[in-house]
Amino acid sequence: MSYYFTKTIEGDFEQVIEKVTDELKKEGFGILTEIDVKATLKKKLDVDFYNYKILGACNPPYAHKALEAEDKIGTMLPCNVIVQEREAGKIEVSAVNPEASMQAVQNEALAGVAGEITEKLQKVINNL
Amino acid sequence: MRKHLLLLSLILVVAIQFTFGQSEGDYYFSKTVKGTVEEVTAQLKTELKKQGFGVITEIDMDKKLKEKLDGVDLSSYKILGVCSPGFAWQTLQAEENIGLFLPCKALVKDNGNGNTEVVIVNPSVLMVMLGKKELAEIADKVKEKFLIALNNLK
Repeated sequence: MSYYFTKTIEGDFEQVIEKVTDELKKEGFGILTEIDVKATLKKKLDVDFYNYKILGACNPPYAHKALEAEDKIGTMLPCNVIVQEREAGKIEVSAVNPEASMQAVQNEALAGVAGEITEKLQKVINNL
Repeated sequence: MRKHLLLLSLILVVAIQFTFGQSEGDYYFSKTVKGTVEEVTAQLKTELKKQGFGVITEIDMDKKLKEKLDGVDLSSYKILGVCSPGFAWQTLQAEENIGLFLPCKALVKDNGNGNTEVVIVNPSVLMVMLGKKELAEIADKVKEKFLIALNNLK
């Protein structure tokens, strides 16, 4: 099982992020955290890197269900969606596959939620 | 000599399991201490800093869920995003998609009666999934540092 879903689209980095945000919203996800990897590496290590952002996406009803099934699942929340521009104008968007990462948890009660949330994230990527 | 070393490492592993109540394969490590969530969070940040990690994101999950969902009332549950720029850079060089798992998450949760539980993800378990040797080695180093920070909580 692949641990992520990915799609590359042509466009402007910031515009693609807006698009990703919209698609996530349609599936009930809000963005709780946003990390600018490029800016952080520059600031902390003086390293030059390409445009790279990590978005922490959360769907509250599903997060709640997951927490009820497994109280330590917060260690895997929110679900990450990463946006990378390795090559100018080619923006790669990838979302973590929660079904794969939750295999480490081994809790049957989580399987249903993990499956549903996986479907939603896959839809977000497909719709880009 | 080798026998002694083997025995010593065995004792160490058992001691770690005893201290944290989990085995190596678990996806997290946990320790419960006395204090409020705010106090313990501040202490955790100090201990993580000593090990070279900063907290770059902070989510009050209980408040978020209460705000979004009717009738949900959870005890304090913080999710902290823990990151060391140096280690993050090393992992990115080994695997560009590692951002899917960064930053590492730590939880600070109110378990009632003045007990606050600190949970920190076991980075080695997630890295195994990616199947890259360099990543597993970095994850093991990070894991050791997380265990020291957790162990130092009072």
